[in-house]
Amino acid sequence: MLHFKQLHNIAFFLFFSIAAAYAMEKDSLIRVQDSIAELFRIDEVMVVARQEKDVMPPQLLKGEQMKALSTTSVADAVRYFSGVQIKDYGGVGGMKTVDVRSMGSHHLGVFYDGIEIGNAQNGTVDLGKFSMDNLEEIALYNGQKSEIFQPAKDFGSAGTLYLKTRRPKFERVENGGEAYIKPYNIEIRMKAGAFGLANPSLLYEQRITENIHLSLNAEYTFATGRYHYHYEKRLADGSIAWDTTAVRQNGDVQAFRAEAGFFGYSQTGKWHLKGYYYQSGRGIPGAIVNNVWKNAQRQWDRNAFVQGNYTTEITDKLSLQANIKYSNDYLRYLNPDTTLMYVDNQFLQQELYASIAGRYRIFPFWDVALAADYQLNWLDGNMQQFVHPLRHTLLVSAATAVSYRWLKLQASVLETFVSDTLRACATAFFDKRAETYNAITPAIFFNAKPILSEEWYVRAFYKMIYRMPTFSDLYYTDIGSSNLQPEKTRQCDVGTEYSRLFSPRNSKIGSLKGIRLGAKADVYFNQVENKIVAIPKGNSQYRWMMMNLGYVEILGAEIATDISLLFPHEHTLTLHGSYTWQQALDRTDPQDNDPYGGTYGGQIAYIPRHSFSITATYQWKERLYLAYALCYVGERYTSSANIPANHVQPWYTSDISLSYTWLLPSSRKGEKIRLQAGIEANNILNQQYEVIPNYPMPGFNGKGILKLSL
Amino acid sequence: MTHINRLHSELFKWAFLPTLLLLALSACRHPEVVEQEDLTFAHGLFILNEGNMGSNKASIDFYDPVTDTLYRNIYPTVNPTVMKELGDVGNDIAIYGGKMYAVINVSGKVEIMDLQARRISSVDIPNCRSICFADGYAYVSSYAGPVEINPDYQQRGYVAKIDTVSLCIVDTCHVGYQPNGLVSDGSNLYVANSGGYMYPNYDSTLSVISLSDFCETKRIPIAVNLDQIVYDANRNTLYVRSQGDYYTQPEILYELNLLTEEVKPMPVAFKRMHLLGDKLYGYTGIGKNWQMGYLDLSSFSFTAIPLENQSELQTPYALFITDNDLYLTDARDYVTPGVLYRYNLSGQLLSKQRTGDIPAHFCMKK
Repeated sequence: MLHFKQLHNIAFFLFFSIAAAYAMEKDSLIRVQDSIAELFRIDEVMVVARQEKDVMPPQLLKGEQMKALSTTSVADAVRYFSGVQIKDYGGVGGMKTVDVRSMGSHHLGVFYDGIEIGNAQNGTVDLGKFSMDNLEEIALYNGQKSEIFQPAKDFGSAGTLYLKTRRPKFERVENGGEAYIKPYNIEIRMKAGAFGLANPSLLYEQRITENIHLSLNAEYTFATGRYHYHYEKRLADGSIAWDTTAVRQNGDVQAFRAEAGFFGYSQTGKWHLKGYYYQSGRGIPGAIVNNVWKNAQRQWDRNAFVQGNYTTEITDKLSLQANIKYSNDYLRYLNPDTTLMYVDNQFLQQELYASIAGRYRIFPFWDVALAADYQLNWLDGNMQQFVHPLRHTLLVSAATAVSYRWLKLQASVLETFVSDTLRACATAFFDKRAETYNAITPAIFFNAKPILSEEWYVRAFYKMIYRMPTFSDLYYTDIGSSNLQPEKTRQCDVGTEYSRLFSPRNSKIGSLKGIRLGAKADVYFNQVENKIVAIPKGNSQYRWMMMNLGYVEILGAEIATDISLLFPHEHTLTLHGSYTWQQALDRTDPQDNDPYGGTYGGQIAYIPRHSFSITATYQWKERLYLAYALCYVGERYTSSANIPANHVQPWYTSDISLSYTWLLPSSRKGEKIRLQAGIEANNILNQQYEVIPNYPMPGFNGKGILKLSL
Repeated sequence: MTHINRLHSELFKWAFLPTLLLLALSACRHPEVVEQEDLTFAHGLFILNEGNMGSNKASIDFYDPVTDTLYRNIYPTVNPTVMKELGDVGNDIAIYGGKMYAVINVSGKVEIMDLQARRISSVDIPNCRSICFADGYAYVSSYAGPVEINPDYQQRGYVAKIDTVSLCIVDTCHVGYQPNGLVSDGSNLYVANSGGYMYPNYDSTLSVISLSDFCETKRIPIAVNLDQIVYDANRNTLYVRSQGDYYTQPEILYELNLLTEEVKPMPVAFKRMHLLGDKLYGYTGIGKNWQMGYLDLSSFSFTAIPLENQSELQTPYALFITDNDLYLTDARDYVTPGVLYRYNLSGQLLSKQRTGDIPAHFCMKK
């Protein structure tokens, strides 16, 4: 018995060391120092971890860092990543979309537990709707995930965001001489605070058998969405020209989310089955313009999907995976204000998705992979003269990866075939507009380690990808434009990364137990041709006016650094800073270049030249967290005519969060009950700012959190 | 204790940096300042820029043809203390009795200014569209439906009557669905009902309102989706534009004889039109094949005016004709500043000026 336990401990120890080292290797940007104990094992397992190094490492947020930061939605969390711009319409229920490296939010593929969240209707995913409650990792990849064994869809976006929900982990409990694995986990959490927020959630995890685990999670969000905002303008002499303070109206939201997941493991593979349900009703607060201080529009959503993944190793050379998904998304938009156009639109979009992928290991250093995906989307709506579009998408990818000592190479090609049919045509007018579309697009990734003994990497990638206009781009009857071309993006990136660990053997670090330094830099050049630009059509944020803006050139640079300081007695301080410089220029019409409103050479809408973020996290054991986060977005313009009338002020917010965990005795010996209490204070400088003009953002706000883990 | 002290000093050292940075940052954000300038507008053209919906960028520009100068966005310059400037989506502008009236659609108001664009007052009319004047009153069409509980609710529009002395609404009169343009012949008001919210079942009537009792006396059927009306006093005729249904029914310009109430289609379908004497100016066509010209109303013959730089214009929009000049705006992509082109009547380019977003309506200060 004792023998087994020792063995088990050693195995556990090894597993976690490797996992920790792997994590340290992988998350170059937001580096998580799990605990001091692991620090000393890193050197020993480096060699093992090196195998798994990503060709293009993602920006990661997970673990302690994620726990410490004050975030409610995924959109709040990803703003700390470099190269990312958030379009935020404000408040708890306001829409939040993400734009990576100025290519536009449509180019970001969002994957939830491995399968993409589709939106054939308008192509963007509202990240404000995705809660952080059940997530354990957010990873953002430029280009694509550095993995060849994946569905063809994973190759299909210019940037990809992977949201990974918490996988059940069951603690080993030692009770006197007995040891067992605790069969369940329960977490009860309550958040409450500004905007009338009440946000309870419940998590239950069960170890059904050794190899099958179940996770159930439910969350409810209620908020009045009311907050004060302040506008003012001054005269040249500094006196106030006008100012006003008002309360944001019609920003209330009620949302319910439930998820169930089965996780299965076997000798040769694993499977995952998941069901997701989300339902919400909200007000659309709308633009604050002269003489309009509130709006009456409402929106209801219901999103449900089931998805499954099965991955298996057929032989030691051949692996296969299959993915399948059905999703059903309902949207109702109501404008009850009869002084405006009365609108009560309902849409139901459905998606069926199936994918099969295989990888073959030709030599230990050389893999090839093939994947084929089929997807069917159809959209129904009650709009007048609605055409009920249906889209078949077929994606086939072939990829190869070479990994030899200091060199890693990956190359992939993706063939996309899209065919639309319109199931109802009131007039012959739309008949002609059903689109078909076919393209082959390549991507190539490279990573080298010039000095084998140093954690220094040099990398580069090139990727070309199209995005098809969405249903709303193409087939909405009252707006939208015909003759829309697919958007084409090309990305070139060259970057480098360095990390180093100073251990206590090094006397220069004084009383510190260790310092970990990491830095990375990237320079990139992106081109977007036939860029489709969405201009919000007034008060309804889900309807847009579409246009092909033409041609945009983006030159950018990103720098990120991480410092982890390990103090004695398990105190840790982690500093993360990232800075992004972007020059995203409208290169459409060389004639249109006068200084009073010309667009040629102007920075495109909503892209700041400078933006940066800083986070500082102080941690004691896994008990006390104190975090400070600063997010700065420089001045922007609302159109590529960079004139004063289109200028938008820079904004920056400072957030502070503090949490402490008490370990309470449990009636079962050896088990622990954790009670965590936290407070978050956001926008502590009470800055009155706007991300999108006329959509005022909240000033100082705070909330409290209580979490009980059984 | 020493290690605690040392710990504190280490922590402090590392926490000091962000604090410093934050202080430096506070300098980056300056208060927003309204530019003030002493401007006087002699005579020339006021241009109302629509601005995209939700952008609050309705603006007024002034073009002085003598000095060939365009003053951009004059409203906040002249009225720096008006909260949130002129408003959202400018829909019409006109001068009457020494005052200028700007109809601001989403802001739901008619802004009343003097002829130096200084604010006098404003009148709230939700979803207001167009304005015309007769006998000391301003008449404003509005899409805003009456509030009533009715399962078959339909949004009829109305016309508001504003006393131009007291600047108050004195009466309203319900008309057809989504009324756009309106004109007066001195005894009646004619309102073009579009039914734009009712598609595909557009309205196709012209409402006639008697000015004496301000009641709708009849509806004259014309064609679907009516838009602009021009009154020709010499011929006692209205020229009414039907926008068609965008699918099968084309746009057609109709002539309505007010005496006989006879409706006849005209040989050309102008998108925007401006009457000067015997000539009805306008442009026709779509895409790159649009054409500027005028219709001689005595012979009904169309004469094209070839514009010097026609291919440069992306989205021809508003039109204004004076005795010597032809003004045409280009709304471009609707989200970037438009352009005002000034030609002589034979199409020779005299001036090109950048305006606000979507330059859409003109009025002349004589």
